[in-house]
Amino acid sequence: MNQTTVETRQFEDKTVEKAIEAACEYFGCAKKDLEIEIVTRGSTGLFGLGGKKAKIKAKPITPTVKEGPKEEEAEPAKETVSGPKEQKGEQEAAVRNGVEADTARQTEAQGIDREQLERHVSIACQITNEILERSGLSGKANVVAQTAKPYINITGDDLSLIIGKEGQTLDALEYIVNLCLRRKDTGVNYRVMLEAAGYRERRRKNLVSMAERLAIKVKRSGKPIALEPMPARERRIVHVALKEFKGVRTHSSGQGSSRKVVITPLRKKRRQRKQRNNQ
Amino acid sequence: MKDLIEHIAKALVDFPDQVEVNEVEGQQTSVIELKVAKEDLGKIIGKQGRTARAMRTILSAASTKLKKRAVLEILE
Repeated sequence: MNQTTVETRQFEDKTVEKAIEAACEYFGCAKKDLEIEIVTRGSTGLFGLGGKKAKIKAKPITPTVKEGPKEEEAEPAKETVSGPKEQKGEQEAAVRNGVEADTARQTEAQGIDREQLERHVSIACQITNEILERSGLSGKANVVAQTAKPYINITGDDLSLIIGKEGQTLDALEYIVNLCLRRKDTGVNYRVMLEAAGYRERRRKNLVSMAERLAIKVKRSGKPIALEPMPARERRIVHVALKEFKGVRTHSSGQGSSRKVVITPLRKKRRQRKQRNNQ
Repeated sequence: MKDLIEHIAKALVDFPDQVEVNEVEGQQTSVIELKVAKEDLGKIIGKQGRTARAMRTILSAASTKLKKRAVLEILE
């Protein structure tokens, strides 16, 4: 540890936890050896877009006495400003920062833990199976929990019927399952996604490539393009896909089921306009 | 199919014992009549009829499997 000049540095990241991680890496020491001050907590923003970054100030604590763990632990009293999760102890926080960073971010805002979330999803799975059984369709729902956001995957022989035209039936089933789930009062507010035969993932990939293709077109022509009306989840996929795409912006317009994404160029082609006006 | 609608309806309402489902079978089409407590009508129909539409979608998938047609009617 550097004892000569102890400078305070600012770190920025999506979440406070990640910023702290970055600070730890920079100073090359554990979190407990840092004095951390939170500047801004940051926010996820709408659909995870346009969120503010979390800012922290950190400097290493220079031990005056020889390293005794008890004194070290007594030191970072200032840390209590940071969220409730961190008070649970360093080890747990470390696990969260690493493997479960994404879920932690999502669930933290709601103050629920992973275990509760998984129970919530398994109840949803049960509801799905109860409906599928009575529908006479061959399909079995299973929880997929290894991912950051647990979801339900349906396997069986009647997947094409379960998905339906343009995913209609799958969407309907998902909607009903979530309605039932909300009534069960699990203490968790989390919409469970249903997936079958990789339909959602395939759709996502299609949307992303379509979005990119259209963005190039918009940039070239300088004219905005509106996409087909889509449900919120699919609109979000488009917004996220084009978030980092330079030269275009996206927004949604219209209401209800006719709400659609519009891709607009950042710069309008003035020359073309002038020419047209002169003619 | 009657079972399916009954199950979904009972999971959504406040008064499950007042849920009544009748199936009127025709040659090709069967009509499923759903009756719920007055207070629960809104829950079964949903915002902009969304819940009712979702139930009909699931019902039609289930009836396609049986190579039949089914219509869901919500009785007031």
